[in-house]
Amino acid sequence: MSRQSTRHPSPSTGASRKGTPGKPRPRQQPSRVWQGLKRNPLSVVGLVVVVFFLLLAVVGPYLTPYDPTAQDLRAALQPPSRAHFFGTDSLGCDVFSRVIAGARYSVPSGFVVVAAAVIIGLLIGSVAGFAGGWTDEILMRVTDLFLAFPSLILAMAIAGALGPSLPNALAAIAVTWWPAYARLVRGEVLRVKQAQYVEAARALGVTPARILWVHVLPNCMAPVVVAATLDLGSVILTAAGLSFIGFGAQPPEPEWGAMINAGRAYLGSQAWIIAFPGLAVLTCVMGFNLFGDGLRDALDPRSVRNQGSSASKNA
Amino acid sequence: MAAMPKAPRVSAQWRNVGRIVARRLGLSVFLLIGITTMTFVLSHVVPGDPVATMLGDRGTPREIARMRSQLGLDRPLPLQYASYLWNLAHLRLGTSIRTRRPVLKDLADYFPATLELSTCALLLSLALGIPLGIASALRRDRPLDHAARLFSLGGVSMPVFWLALVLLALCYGRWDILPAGGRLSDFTLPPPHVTGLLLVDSLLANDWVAFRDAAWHLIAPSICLGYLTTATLARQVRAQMLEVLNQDYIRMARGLGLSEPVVILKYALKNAMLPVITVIGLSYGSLLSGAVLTETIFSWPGIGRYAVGSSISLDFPALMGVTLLIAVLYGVVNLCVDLLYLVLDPRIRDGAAREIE
Repeated sequence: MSRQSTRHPSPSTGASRKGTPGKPRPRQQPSRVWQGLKRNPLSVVGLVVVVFFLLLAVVGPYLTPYDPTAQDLRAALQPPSRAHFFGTDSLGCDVFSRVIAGARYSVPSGFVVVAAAVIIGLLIGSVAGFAGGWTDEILMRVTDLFLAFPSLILAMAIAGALGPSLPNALAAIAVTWWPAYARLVRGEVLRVKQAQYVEAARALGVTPARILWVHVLPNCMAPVVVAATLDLGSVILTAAGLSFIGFGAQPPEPEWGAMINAGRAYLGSQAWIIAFPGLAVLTCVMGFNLFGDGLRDALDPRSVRNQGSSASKNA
Repeated sequence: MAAMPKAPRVSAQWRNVGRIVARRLGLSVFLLIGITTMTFVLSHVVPGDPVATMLGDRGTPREIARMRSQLGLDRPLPLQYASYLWNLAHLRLGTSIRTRRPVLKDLADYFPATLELSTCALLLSLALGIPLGIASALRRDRPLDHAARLFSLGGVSMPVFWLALVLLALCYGRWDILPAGGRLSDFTLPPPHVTGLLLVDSLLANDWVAFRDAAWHLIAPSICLGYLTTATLARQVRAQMLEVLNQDYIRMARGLGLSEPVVILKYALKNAMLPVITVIGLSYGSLLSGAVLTETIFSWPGIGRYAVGSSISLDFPALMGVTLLIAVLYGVVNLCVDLLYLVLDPRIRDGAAREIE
């Protein structure tokens, strides 16, 4: 078996992918990306869901039929009805209003953490990949250190020490999230660095900082954008999970994870209290994942090649 | 592995292997020192005061000061750090502020539960995810593929704590076919403690009642914990299989008239699985550390729940112990993955490893 695979190296492994260096992905025009996205109906569905939740995060709080934190103990634990579409919780808050208001917690959480992670990752990864040598070695070992840190436990420690709140939880998630981007960016920079146009720029005496900023980084962005889109969903899940165990948003804040935790006691009898916030998380994260998958297929020439060859096989 | 064609080649290959292993071990030591330093700094620069939290209302300033000096928290930081490292070198992880027991003992008590749960979850996802990924790739764009992809999409998008609650509400609340939580029913006598893994212990004691009960309790938590990994694996296997099935050597094998099972299992799967091994390793690492939510809901006495409790009471010696344990596990799993690559992929033995790192 071993000799077999030596003779037929598959391009799916890192070793041989790096064997063909300096072949930058063509930069994609927005309209091209849109064409690629449109080919897959599911990614359009994902986009629609993402836009829906983005809108909800922006204007949702003005649309709620009730004040999401207004308690009315006389109307507690009511099943879904025309007055309360999703019923009411144990304090008489309108679950529908709370689910809508929750978008303003979860969606921005995702964006804040991913933005922080991408910025730190770009900084560390590009410097490490571009400088190489000892700088690379030291930066990547530091990255490994953060990567080996158990993220949920770190988040719990920070939340426990600084007091549980959503911003603290987000800070903790960001601390453990950037190493993945640093490694991704470093790999891309190593690949793009060997391109001929970078060599040409260097020969023309362009400063390294300018080469990195103008010629290298823009060509590294496609996989970063894809990873970031997919990560938005994961971060929303993690933040909701932290709020669920009490290390994130605190009741009575209408955050989905915290709402599910508050409804746990009524699991058997008043299931609507946790059903709707859970469905909201699921739908929202699914939207980001569908959109991210579609974006990856649209931006990644490798998957386009796959599609092409399967098309020709079908023909 | 099969015999290599020439003897000198073999020794060159294994010299390479030795160098890679040495480098990896060196890096692991560096990582451990780094992580201990980070946990130490983290636990000492934060504003929270564990002693005040521990004493609660009884915490008069004098009492707090007495307690702090008793725990050594009033000494200068470098001194505390030095003694922390010294103790660590002797495997003394300190005393938990909350349980007042040695942290190492606590970890030894709680860890087997986590190990048992995450191993079951991993086995479940291997058994489901790999066949699903293969079938999905072979039936590309057919109903089976769409169903499998939908299932995987659910797995990567599902809030695990919500899935756990839904499972509880249905399987315990409504149908009463699964237990509410814990590792054993109240009336089941636990098997004599050997490994701490109830399935193994009950088998060793030939105690089938306990074995069945432990397995029964493992079902729901393993499903919850394993769903994400199953989904990730199915997606990875599908993508890799599609990639490999397009290769010339597969067309060659088919052209030679080899039967489809031989082509798929012998030629395609072997090559497709290489990158998947990394995913399995990473997943196992995160299963071991990421069981916090599942353990909380199913009252599973593992290190995840231990960490939650420790975090609430600002029990930093315990948290540092958990962090260290998970970091070590993570390192060990990663090391195993890398070694496995050396065994499985001769290209890496040949020295391409430098680039892989």
